[in-house]
This record gives sequence, C-alpha cells and structure tokens, in this order.
Amino acid sequence: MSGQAFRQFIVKVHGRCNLACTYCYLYAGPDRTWRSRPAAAAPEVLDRTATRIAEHARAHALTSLSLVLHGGEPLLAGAGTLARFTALVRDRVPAGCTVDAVVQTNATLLTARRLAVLADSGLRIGVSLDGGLAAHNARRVDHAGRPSWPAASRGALLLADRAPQAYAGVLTVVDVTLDPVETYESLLTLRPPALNLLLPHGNWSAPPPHWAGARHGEWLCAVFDRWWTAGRRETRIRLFEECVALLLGLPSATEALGLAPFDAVVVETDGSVEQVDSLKSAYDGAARTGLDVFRHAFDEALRHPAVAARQAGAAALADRCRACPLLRVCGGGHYAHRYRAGHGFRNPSVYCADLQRLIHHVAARLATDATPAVRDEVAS
Amino acid sequence: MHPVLREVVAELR
Repeated sequence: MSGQAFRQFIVKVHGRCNLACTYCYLYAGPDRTWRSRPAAAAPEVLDRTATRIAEHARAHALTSLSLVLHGGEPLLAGAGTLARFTALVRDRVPAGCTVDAVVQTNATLLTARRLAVLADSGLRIGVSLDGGLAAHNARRVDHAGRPSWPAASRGALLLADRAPQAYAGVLTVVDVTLDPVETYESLLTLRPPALNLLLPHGNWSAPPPHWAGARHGEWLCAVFDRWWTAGRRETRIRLFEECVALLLGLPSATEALGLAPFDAVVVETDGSVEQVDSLKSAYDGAARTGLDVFRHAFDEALRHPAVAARQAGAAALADRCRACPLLRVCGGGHYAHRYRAGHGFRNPSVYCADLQRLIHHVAARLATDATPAVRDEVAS
Repeated sequence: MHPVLREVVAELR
C-alpha cells in the first residue's frame, strides 16, 4: 500500500559546504553517509532525477510540485547548473504541472551575475542566517574558522536589492542565548519577505543545546509578541502563521506542527533516494531507504515503512500525544525531535513543553485580539 | 526498523 504522492523534491545538487557551522547536524552530527558520496551530483544523476520527478508527477496527476535545490551549499555546483536542472525538470513534467523552484543558500557565494542567472531561470532564493548581526552568526564559520557574516550579509542584501521578486526569505535556527527581539529586528534589516524560525535539532538521547524548562518556547513567544504587536505585518513568520492556521482548524504547511502527512523526498548526489536530512540528527543512516533514482521509481519510496510512518498522522504518535488536548495543533512536533535511542520515534517531542508554551500563547493572543464586538457577532 | 491578525487571517481564509 503506497501513501500520498511526493510533492516536494529536495535535490542535493552539491553535497559539500563552504562553511563549517559549529552546530551543523549534517556534517558534525551522527550521520556519516555524506563522506562516501560524490561532492556534486553528476549530470547523469540530475538527468535521471528529472525523469523520475516527471514520472511521479504523471503517475499521480500532480498539478504542482516543489523543487528544492539544496546541499551542502548548492551554489558550489554553479548557478548555471542550477538553472539548467530547473529548466530540465520543467521541460519534462507533464503540461499543466507547475514547478515552484527554490534554492536554499548560505548567501556567501551570491554575486550580481549569479543572482541574475538564478532569478532569470525562475528560481526563488532562500537564505540561511541566524540573525542580522555578526554576533548572531558567530557559529557560522568557514573551514578555517573565519566568520561567514561579511560575505553572507553582502549576499543577502544584494538579493534584497537586485532580485527582490526572487527573494524567498531567511531561515534562522533559534539560539536561546541571543536576545529574541534583537534577533528578530536585526533580521528585518535584511528585508526578508518571510522568515522561519527553526528549533535546533535534538532528541531525547542528544538533547538540544541550552535545553531547560520551556526556554525555547519562551524565546519564540518573545519574538511572537514583537511581531504580532508591530501594528503591521513586517514579514511573514511561517511557524507563527502555521500555528494560527492550525488553531483555526486549517491544514498546516510546516513539519514543526500539525498532523499533515509529510510528502517530501530527497535525492542525494549519488542518486540515492532518502528521507529528509533532519532525520540524520538522530542516528547514522536514519534517512536511508536503500533506493536510488537509477533503479527505483519514487512510488517505491512511498512504500518504505519509515516514509509511511511520516504519512500516518496521529497513528504514528506516542499514546501520550494521541491523548493530548493539543494534538491537532502540535501534532507531536517535528519528527526528528521525537527520537530516543532504543525507543525509536514514537515519543513526544523533546520540545513538548516549548510547543505547549507557544501554542497556548498564540491561542491566548488570538482570543484576546479578536475584538469583543466581532467575537459577539461570531458567537451569535 | 488588530492589523497583523486581520492580514494573516484574511490570507488563511
């Protein structure tokens, strides 16, 4: 029995990074699979991947799909390679299937010329930064330990100036040692149309850094209040807006909350078909499926037990989560954060207390700020 | 193996 079709295809066009962030779960975590893989995806891997994506789109009559060019640092593959591969996928999918293509970069390699190539090929560009000040990005260093901030900030501002229509936004890993409001306000100086705040990967066997009480939840609540009370929507913040959506009974578009079946799949530089990288923060080989684009259709990955578990919604959760009053909103949190060695993934999130704190906080603000007149009207 | 609430909700509709 295969599950819901994949609609998000994450392609590792390059498997190495020009940075060596001290907290990187991919290269400094327990997973070692990257070491045995080619640095860059060969042309035949990209060609075969485009064919497999088109095959899947046709088989499931997809009207849209998301193509995510990831790494490592995808720009190490060259902007031209990214543009050509995107064009190849668009050319091969059936007529009537739109391809939303985005590249996620550390921005250090962005130049005016590369930006033009990416934007002209219809690629959106997302940037990974941990704040809008040098101090916020002290852990994002190159392999010689030099700060990446000068090049990254230059690249991000170039993107905002030269290609605002292609600017997807900024992804930020939460660092609870930083001031939350200062972090948010500094990110606004980069003019992102959207932000997402990612809880650092960790689990019960390897808890996240500075994990205590609901410290991460408190940090997020402080940013929420600053964003919510700004008097205008300064930018979109995915985590918060998806929390509002879930509280209103809508489906969500995030891994961090909710019970929506997960429909993303990864192609590594050697053509291996894997689950998403975040699982690699749990144990070595956690994302492996044993499949590859040369021998297997993506439908075979849908039948993989671990993929099926991520599409099973509440059925894949711990008993405690299924009985929790916040189940529909929290959804057990991010799958990778539930891991416990010897017990698998059927546990509450290591961020359970943090998620409860955030969800209650957002719900309270939502209830308070829908004015009494409107609330009476709705009630009647 | 509330302007922000208004805009967010309008979009979510």
